[in-house]
Parts: sequence; structure tokens; C-alpha cells
Amino acid sequence: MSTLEGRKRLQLLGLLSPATFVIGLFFIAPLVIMATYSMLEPGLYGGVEWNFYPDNFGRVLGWADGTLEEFDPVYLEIILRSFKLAAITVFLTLLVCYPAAFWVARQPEKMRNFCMFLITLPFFTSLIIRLYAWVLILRPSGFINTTLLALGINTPINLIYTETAVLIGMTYIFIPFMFMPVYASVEKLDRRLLEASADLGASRWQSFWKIIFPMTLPGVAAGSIIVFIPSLGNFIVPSLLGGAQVLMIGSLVEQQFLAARNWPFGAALAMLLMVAVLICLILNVLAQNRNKAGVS
Amino acid sequence: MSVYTRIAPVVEIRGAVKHYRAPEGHLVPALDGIDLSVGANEFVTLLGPSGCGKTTLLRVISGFEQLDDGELLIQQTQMNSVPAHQRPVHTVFQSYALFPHMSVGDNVGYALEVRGVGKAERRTRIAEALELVGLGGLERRKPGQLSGGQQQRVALARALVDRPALLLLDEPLSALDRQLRQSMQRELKKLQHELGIAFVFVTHDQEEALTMSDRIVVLNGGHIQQIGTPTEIYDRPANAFVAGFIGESNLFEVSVSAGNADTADLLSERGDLLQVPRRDLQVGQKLQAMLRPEQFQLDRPQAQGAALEGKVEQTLFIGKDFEVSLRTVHGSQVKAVIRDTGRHDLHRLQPGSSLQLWYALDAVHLIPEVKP
Repeated sequence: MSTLEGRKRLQLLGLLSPATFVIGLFFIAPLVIMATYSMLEPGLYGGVEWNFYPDNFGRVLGWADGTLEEFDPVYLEIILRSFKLAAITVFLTLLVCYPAAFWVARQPEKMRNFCMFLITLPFFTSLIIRLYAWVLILRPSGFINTTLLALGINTPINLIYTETAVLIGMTYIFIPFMFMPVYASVEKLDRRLLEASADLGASRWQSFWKIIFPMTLPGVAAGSIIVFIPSLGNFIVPSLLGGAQVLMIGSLVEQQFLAARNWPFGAALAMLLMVAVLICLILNVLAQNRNKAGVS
Repeated sequence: MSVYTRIAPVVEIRGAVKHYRAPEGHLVPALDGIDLSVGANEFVTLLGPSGCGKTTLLRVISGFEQLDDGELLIQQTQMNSVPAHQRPVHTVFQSYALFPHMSVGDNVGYALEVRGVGKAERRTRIAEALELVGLGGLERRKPGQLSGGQQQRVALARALVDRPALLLLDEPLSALDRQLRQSMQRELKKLQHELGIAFVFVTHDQEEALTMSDRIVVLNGGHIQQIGTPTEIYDRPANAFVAGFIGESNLFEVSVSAGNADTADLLSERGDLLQVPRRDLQVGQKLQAMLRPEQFQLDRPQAQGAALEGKVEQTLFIGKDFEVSLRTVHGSQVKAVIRDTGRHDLHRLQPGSSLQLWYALDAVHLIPEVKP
């Protein structure tokens, strides 16, 4: 018995060690380095001085250069804007994907598979190229404005390098990420439950709020997290479509590391972002546990 | 019609026609001219093989299918195009269809909630309904924590909580094991009687239909084959389909070969001779003669009787009774259930031995030939 168990344990160890190795080397180690750097003094030409230096965090929270005199919430504003844009992105992708998922789920199997193929189609092309395509569409002499001009509307609308442009771009790239989990939960929905609901006297509206919505909520929650977290830290879209006007925290971190060469400050920003995301995730897990409580 | 429908019927269906489109494109009739009425406090069972139209008929009443032609009245109101959620009818589904994200109490109270019944009243009526099905105190459980039998009861409580005029049951017992099914049959019957709600029960299980129903509607191919009380359906099936579908039967294609003083001789196609009371049979008339297996016995009956003779092919002990397969001298197969053998007759039932199976002449049920 004991040898059998020991063998099983050895097997388990063997099977798990590659994953443990990869996670340890590529996830945990960089995280530890970043956490350490965030509390060190920035070096003059990049890198770090090995002195404890908590002012990085102070600066993020508004006390510029670690002094209490000038309160300047510029970084807080960027963080808040990032949260706002990420939240609106979640909302917009949901607005597109939720009804679409119901439509796709009702199609015959061939059509459903074709729709899934269409959803994954954008991944065949580089993200950068697709975003440059959006630049061509949104810029003052771009597709939208030339169309408006052709229609006789002569005031060009300024789209590129605005929050709207960033939202359009982020919604565009995150739609597939929202669609998949939402679709999975919608497809699982048992139509017989809707019949039971109608049979017991519920109108379509009541059936939606009491049956359909709560039962697809886990998919909506999963999709929201999958969209919210990467859009919060996204720097490609704001860089290409937002320019200098719409700075988001992702771009800020990038700037600190590559342009300003203030590694500790960039690390502090990234750590704060991570903590914020972790809090969101924990809240979500708690909410789901409360929902599931009692279901075996 | 029955005693129930003389008082205002709960449901009336007249000339109901419903077609489905087959994958090949042509139309297939699911209901083909159905007339039916269900009285208040009546337990009506729709019985038939799968694809006979019984579930379609149920879904027409509940509002999930629309009739192509004909009329549906519920409580004297035309309901052909009234949406399901506005009909005074609830269904107990085969799959139970309990809402998995809601507690048992919320499931049961659903019909009240969507009608805007207040929380306090809802709570008492949920408790009542659960008490009714023997699940008092389980309000806070989730459906996933209940056994199949308990889920079944929750589905029943959910459908009964606001006392609908009519309850539809779509093979609700088919997922339960035999013992539980039988106890639920009795309980359902009792519940229906106590509540005074009309039940329309769909099943393909003839035993279930016979046990529970006030009236049975036998359906096949979208047509009503026979409507009657369980004993009517069992003892006097209207046609060969009903005779074959309800219980076991020995059917003989016969023609009247001779009329005697008070009996008539029937000659089967294979050559077996049956005797029946004379009645008003014409020589040469073609009929079907039916004998239930349990109508045979080993000895000459007290009443006027006759016998079929042959060799025993197989004898099975089926608990209490013996089931005997007999091959007659003319080659017909006859199935008999012999009871009260007292076991000492066992040697007569050995396979290969010759045997006479007696029946009382008036036990033979005659089915007139149906014109095609």
C-alpha cells in the first residue's frame, strides 16, 4: 500500500514539476524582483540603488518627489482614468456580446461554428496592424471624416487621440474575450427552464430578470474580469489611438521603464495596479461563493 | 360523456389539428382532429406510444404549441392564441425544470412572486405547498441538494402553489425508480382528489394510466383511439391497437363459421376454433376476438366454456402466477397467465406437455373489423 502511495506521489511530483518550474521562474521570480525594486531608490541612469526608498509609492499617491509639500494627484488621475476607461470598455463589450451570444446560441450548429470562426478571425492578424487600421479610420483625413465630407457634412469630427478613440479600440480588441465566456453560459442555458418560467405565469421580461440574467451572470462576471484586467493595464491602444492626451496607467508604466528610466517608480505603479486588480478578483470570488453557497 | 363533463368542463378541445414539418420538408400530422373535454376535478390520462401526439396535445393546452386548426377552450374561454404565461394552467415537467439558482422556497413561490403576491403571504403559501407534498421545512435547500423524488415533489408543489384550474403532468414519474413511482402514483391520485384540481397526465406507461385515471384517452398517430374509464379500456378495447397497447392480449383474426342455438363458432385464420355467446353475429362476418391471458384456466369453468388445445412451449414463474406460452395444434401462439395453481398442477405446465386452456365464452371480447 505505502509503496503504491509513494509511487503515486512520485508520479504527481514528476507531472507537476515542469509547471512548478515555469511558474516559479517566469511568474514568481519577476514579481519578487518588481516588488523589491518598487521599494528601492532609482539609479541616476536607470537601474536601482540598493537603499530603502518608500517615496515611490508616495509619489503615486500624489506627493510629488516624495515631499509632502506639493500635493499633485496627476498619477491618481491617470489611475482613475484607467479604471474608468476599463470599466466603460467592459460595459461596451458586454453591450455587444450579450445579445450576440443569444443570437449565435439560437443558430443551427453549422452557423454557430461559423460564427465562432468569425470571432477568432481577428487573431490571425497582428494587433498592431489592426490598431493602425483604426488610426486610418479615425484620423481627421480618415475613412469616417471623408465619408462625412462626401455626405455633405463639412465639420470634421476629431476622433483620434481622444478617450473615444481609446474606447473604440479597446472595445474592438476585447470583444472576443467577452464573447467566449458569455456565449458559454448562454449556450448552457436550459430552454426548458424558460418554458417552466412562462408556464408559471412570468412574462418575458420577468423571465429574463429572474431566470436568464442570474443564470448567465457567471459568464458575464468571467468575461468582465477577462476584459477589465488587460484593459486596465493596456498600453498599446492608448499609445496608438490616445496619443499623449489619453495617458493610461499601462502607458505610464511603460514610460517610466523605457523613457524616464525610473524603474522603482514604474515598479511601484505596477504593484499598485496589481493590488487593485487582486482586490477586484477577491471581491468577485467572494460574491461567487456566496451565490454558490448551498449548491452541491 | 362522463359524469365530470356534464358540469362545465375545464378544458374543451374541438377538432384540434397540428402539423410538424419533417426534416425532409413535408408536413407530418401530430394531432389530427382531436375532440376532448376534461371536467373539473377529473384525472384524465393521455396514453400512447412515443410520437402519438400526447405531448403535443399537452403543449397545446399549456400554450407552448399553437393549433393549426380547431379550438381550445379553458374555463369556457377561447385560448388558442393566449400566451402561455396568461393561462390558468401549470405544468409539471418531465425534467422537473427546477430553477437551479433559486432555493426550494423561491422555486415553489415563483408563480406567486411573478404575480406580485407579498412576501409574507408568499411565505405561508410556500410552506403550505411544501407541507402538501411532504417536504415541509426544506425551503432553504437548493434543488441540487435534493434527491430525484424530492425534486419531483418540489416541481409538484411549485405547480400547485397558486391552485391552478388545471394541472398538466408530462410523464413526471418516468425518471423515478419503480417503488417510488408506485407510491407517487397513489399520492398524486390522493392529492388530486383532495385539491379538486383537474389533472391531465401524459404517460406511455399503461399500468400507470390504469392505476391513476378517471378516464384514459388512448392516442395513436394523432388520432384518439378510445376514450373511457380504465375498466372500459381494459375490458372492451375499441380496436386492435388499444387491445394490444393496454395489457397483454391474445388477438385472433376470425370469421363467424357457424351459429348454434345459443353460441357461435369463430374460425381463426390459422384454423383455431373459438366459441362465443350467439349475440347477433352473422355467419361469414369478419371480426377480431380478444382473450386476456388471465382469462384462461386449466379446468372447465362453471359457466359455459370452451378450450384451446396445444403444447406448452414455455412456462415462467412471474411471482404468484405462472405465464404459459402455448402453441395450439393449428400453430397459433397463445399466452396465458395461470393463477391459483396450488402448485400441484405444475406438472401439467411442463414444456412439451399437452394442455387445454379453458375460457368462459362470455370472456371473449369481439372487436368489429375496422374498415380501412
